Amino acid sequence: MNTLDNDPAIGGGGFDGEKAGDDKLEEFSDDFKCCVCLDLIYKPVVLACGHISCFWCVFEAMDTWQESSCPVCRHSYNHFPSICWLLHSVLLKLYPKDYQIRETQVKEDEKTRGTFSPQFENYLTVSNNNKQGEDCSVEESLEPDKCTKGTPTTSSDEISKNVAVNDLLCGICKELLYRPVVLNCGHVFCETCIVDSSNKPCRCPVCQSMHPNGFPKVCLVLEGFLEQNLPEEYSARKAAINNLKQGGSSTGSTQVPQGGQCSSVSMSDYLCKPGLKVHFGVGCDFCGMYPLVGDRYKCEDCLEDIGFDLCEDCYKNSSNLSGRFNQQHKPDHKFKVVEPNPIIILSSEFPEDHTHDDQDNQTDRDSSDESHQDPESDVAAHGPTL
Amino acid sequence: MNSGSLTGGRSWPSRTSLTSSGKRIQKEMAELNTDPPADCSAGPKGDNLYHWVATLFGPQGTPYDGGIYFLDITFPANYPFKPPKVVFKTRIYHCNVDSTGNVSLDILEENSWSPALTISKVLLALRSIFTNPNPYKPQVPGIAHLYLVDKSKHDSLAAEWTQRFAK
Repeated sequence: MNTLDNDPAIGGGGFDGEKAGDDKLEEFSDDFKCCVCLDLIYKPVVLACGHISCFWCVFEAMDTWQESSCPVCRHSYNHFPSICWLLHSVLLKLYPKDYQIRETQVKEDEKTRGTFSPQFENYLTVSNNNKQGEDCSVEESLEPDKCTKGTPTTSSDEISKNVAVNDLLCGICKELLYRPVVLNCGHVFCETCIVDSSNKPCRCPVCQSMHPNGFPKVCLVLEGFLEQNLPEEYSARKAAINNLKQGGSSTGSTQVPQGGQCSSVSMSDYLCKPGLKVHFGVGCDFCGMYPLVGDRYKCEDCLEDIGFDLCEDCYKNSSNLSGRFNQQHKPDHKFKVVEPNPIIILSSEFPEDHTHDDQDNQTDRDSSDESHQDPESDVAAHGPTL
Repeated sequence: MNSGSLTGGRSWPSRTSLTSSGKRIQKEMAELNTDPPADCSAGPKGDNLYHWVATLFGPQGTPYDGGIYFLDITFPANYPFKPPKVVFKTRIYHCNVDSTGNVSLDILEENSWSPALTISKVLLALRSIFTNPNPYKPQVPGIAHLYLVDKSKHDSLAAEWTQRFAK
């Protein structure tokens, strides 16, 4: 017990300072406290289970060697979702002071580490000119034009502290979000809208990128926020949608298709399959798949340490390629196919157990075919199909 | 997005620094002070933020009642992405704690740990093994066996140890 009595004196310095600092700041709701850093969520990323964390917290909590799981509910996922800019601007409006402090903290952290996170276009319109200039001077700033364009058109006074309905619209119905879901790309929709508009694979209607592994779950924190802060509007939306449901087909539009809830193959089975190329520690910069499975397309022209990689699907389909960490990737950059680093020691033990299985034989053969090819011959001489 | 070698583990940029883990530990310290969990306490041992001491009081209705148990908690540099190490400094007769103080608790294992867990949740879990030992995942199989076949003898031995070591 004696040791504990000493503690306040020792830890006290930083502790009291923090408390004093807290008094000056807005009291942010516990709902918007990141479960990892225990601070106000900065650059929110919403996982498929609907739980929110900071961009860097999600990134750091991901597993290099296998599928990752949500820190809160352990729901497994294998794609690093993009930042939800809608929530980002909501938080910025709700807690301008706190959020800016977080911004400076994270920027400093990134500077010391030499890492970058995506920048928002209308990014921090409240920040002063001085800061904007600083942003532009950063060499790696992805879109310098946006920095200059983004000079504050709205002063902090004009920004209402209260978040309006206009900040919380569904990308499809353009009305207030009802039971909001956030896709892998970071766009937010009503659950009813996204389930109605897309059939089997879930694709974002705004940016056309795929949402992996079925439908996302409702982001309960955002829903709670809507219910609390816009109670009239929200209940009106609720009533309207319930009316629609009663009048319309009885298939129940809020009912998420059963098959959509879970991925067809469990990720761990998927990763252990022999012959499958798993690039441990490498992620796709477009869809966020991590670890990257299948053919890996590595950009030869991106100079950043982080590199720029795409999975096969994104290489073939994506038109709008931007890096997860603000790499200066340009459409004319060349790609080459890179073989995974051989950690096959693990998976080479499996074929014996599986040889009686036809399907696995198939994949074994496929992979051996591929391994005969010289990886260099796979070099894609052209840029991504735009 | 890939950087560094695979031997380094993660290839995307590694972010955890002493500052971010330190910040998180400080936040936990603040929370423990404002909202302390029942019958336990925790805080840094000296001026090292990464080395804590915690105390647990043996819950009533258990053979550990009245005992005060000291624990050493060591945070890894990449906390909260890796679990803290918890060691009992006070000897205890318990199937999940061995003679050197190592605890078998699922949430403290690397695969079951979640960065959303905090020290106060760990202490809560540790308190729960006082009342509900897990003999099926023992650290000391002998004690686990006795717990299963002769609970009253187990309890009297545990109470004796409490008297001897934890008071």
